[in-house]
Amino acid sequence: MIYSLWIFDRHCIIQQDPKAARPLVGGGTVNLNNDIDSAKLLFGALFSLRNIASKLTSNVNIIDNTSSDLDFQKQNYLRSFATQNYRAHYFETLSGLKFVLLTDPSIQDMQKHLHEIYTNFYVEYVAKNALSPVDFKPGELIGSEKFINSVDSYILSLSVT
Amino acid sequence: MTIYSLYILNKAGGLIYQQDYNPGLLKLSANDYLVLAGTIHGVHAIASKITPFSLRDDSAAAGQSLLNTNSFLNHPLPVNYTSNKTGLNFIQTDFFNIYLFQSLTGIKFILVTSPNGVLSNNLTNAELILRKIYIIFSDYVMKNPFYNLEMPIRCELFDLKTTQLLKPV
Repeated sequence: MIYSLWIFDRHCIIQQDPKAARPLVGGGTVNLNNDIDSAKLLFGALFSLRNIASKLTSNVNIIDNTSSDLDFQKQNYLRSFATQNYRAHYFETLSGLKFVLLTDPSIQDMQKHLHEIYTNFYVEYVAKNALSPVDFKPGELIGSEKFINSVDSYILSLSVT
Repeated sequence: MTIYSLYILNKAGGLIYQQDYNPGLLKLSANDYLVLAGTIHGVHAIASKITPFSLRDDSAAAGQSLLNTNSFLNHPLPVNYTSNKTGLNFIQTDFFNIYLFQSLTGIKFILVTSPNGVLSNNLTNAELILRKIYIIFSDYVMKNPFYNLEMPIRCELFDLKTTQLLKPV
């Protein structure tokens, strides 16, 4: 089961996939306003984990582990994190764009689907769209209907749903 | 699955034990380890807050709809999302995996291992090791009369037993 898709740019949120997504709700006892900030909470969690991932490894030990000789692939990337109830799959492009998919914890690897969404839909309908802003303003969402619809139908077509 | 290191956090998020068992990770400064522990502690708390709406069982309606969905028939009902079991379970990166276990008293055991994919048997494997560590912790730290609660663990027997468990002979 797939719960929601989030796309963050270098700054913070730009798009939450509206149809495949039910709103994320924080809440709890500490701060009721957390409801509004779940995008920021998600971004913060991923950002911290990403830093941990890069902090604990160096290029040296990574060379032992992979045969890749491309410089940019030597970095350690966060793939996913999970709690008992859900799992967040994470994919980051070289331009700092972050794709996050929240799914059931039993679902294994969604990286390739996130990559697919990036190459087939984001690049085609948002990056190549001359009318779409290069840098999204805070609070601004991806407006391209073509993008939203094709991402929706792609996610709903995945066999894991 | 190779075990790189073990961290133990007290309930306030302070690092009370840090030990590397097999080479594979960078050595950080003592201060950096404290920061790392604090970060994981924070993200653990945040992670349960961002539980998707449809999984929150404090609204009766959400629980009902879960029961009716086919994909949930073979899943146990989600634990109350505010319980301390719903925080981070594991973190997967390209070069290592982190597994977390929080005891009911709020002590976190963090295991950094080599990445073998988070296969379900690997997950249970790591969980098993974490539980064994918890047993060792109860036996050799909590039953040690000279140990101060919430303070860094300096117990030789605990060092010995965890090394026996985690380091291949």
